[in-house]
Amino acid sequence: MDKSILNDLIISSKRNDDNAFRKIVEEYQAMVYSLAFRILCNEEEAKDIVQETFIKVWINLSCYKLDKKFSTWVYAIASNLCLDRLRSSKHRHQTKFVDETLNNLISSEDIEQTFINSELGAIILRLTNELTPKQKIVFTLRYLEELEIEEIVEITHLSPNKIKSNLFLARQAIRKKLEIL
Amino acid sequence: MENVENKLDLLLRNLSKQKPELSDAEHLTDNIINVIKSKSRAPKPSILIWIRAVSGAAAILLVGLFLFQQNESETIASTNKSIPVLEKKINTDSLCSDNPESPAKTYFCYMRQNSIKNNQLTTYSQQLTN
Repeated sequence: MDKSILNDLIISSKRNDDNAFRKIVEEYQAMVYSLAFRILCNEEEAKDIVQETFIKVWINLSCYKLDKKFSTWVYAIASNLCLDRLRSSKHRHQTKFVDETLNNLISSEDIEQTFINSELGAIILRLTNELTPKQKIVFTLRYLEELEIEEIVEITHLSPNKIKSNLFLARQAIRKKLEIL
Repeated sequence: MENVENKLDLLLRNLSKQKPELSDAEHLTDNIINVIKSKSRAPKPSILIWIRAVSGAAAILLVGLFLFQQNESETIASTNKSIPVLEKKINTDSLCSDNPESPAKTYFCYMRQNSIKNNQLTTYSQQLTN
């Protein structure tokens, strides 16, 4: 979405225009869902996070400054909610063994197969279930959402060094799993 | 080791290409819009901001006054401590009676007594040296 159109929609939303806000939700809900699903590996929980994120966005829209990147601000809200969810007892794990699908992902250079959500969630969970909540967030933002370190700094408020050390530990843990496969 | 590292890179590349599919996105959007319609987002009234600022300033002022008062009472206490000692000394050492109505007279009396004592002391020390 064009920056000026987005800014107009944000300004209208700040004036309680829910039609403008609907357009923002339509534009960004897939992004939030993708992040939440990749972190929580559960469709229902990811949908809950999408809803909670946009409610928070609506409530706190007056705090948002137009010179900042809107997606980064939304990512920050969503990743905080995911972090809370990972730490809470509400979080439910999907357990399903997916070694065969995982092997497909490792062996094929240019994979054309699209996995259904349950398979994808199970693969990510198989790889990341031993990571700490913070490592999981940083790993997902960097390697699955493919964000730059500077943007992850803005989202998580962690220092670049802390992010790098979390990424190193996460990679190490996943590499150990791959060695066993 | 390098092989595992390559495998990991390939896996992460492939995983990042796999986007989770959001089913029933429209329904989710409708839900969100329905919820936000019921959520109040009343702007903070400016009077509240003023009350907050004024009460903050008043609190700082009160703390400042309290500290100032503490300091003052300590000074008064230390002054008061020295007064009784002085009074005691005057009462025991001097032959002058305190006269609150004319402190000047009392003062001159003390001075006179002192000069007499000094003279006596000088004479006494001269006698000792002789």
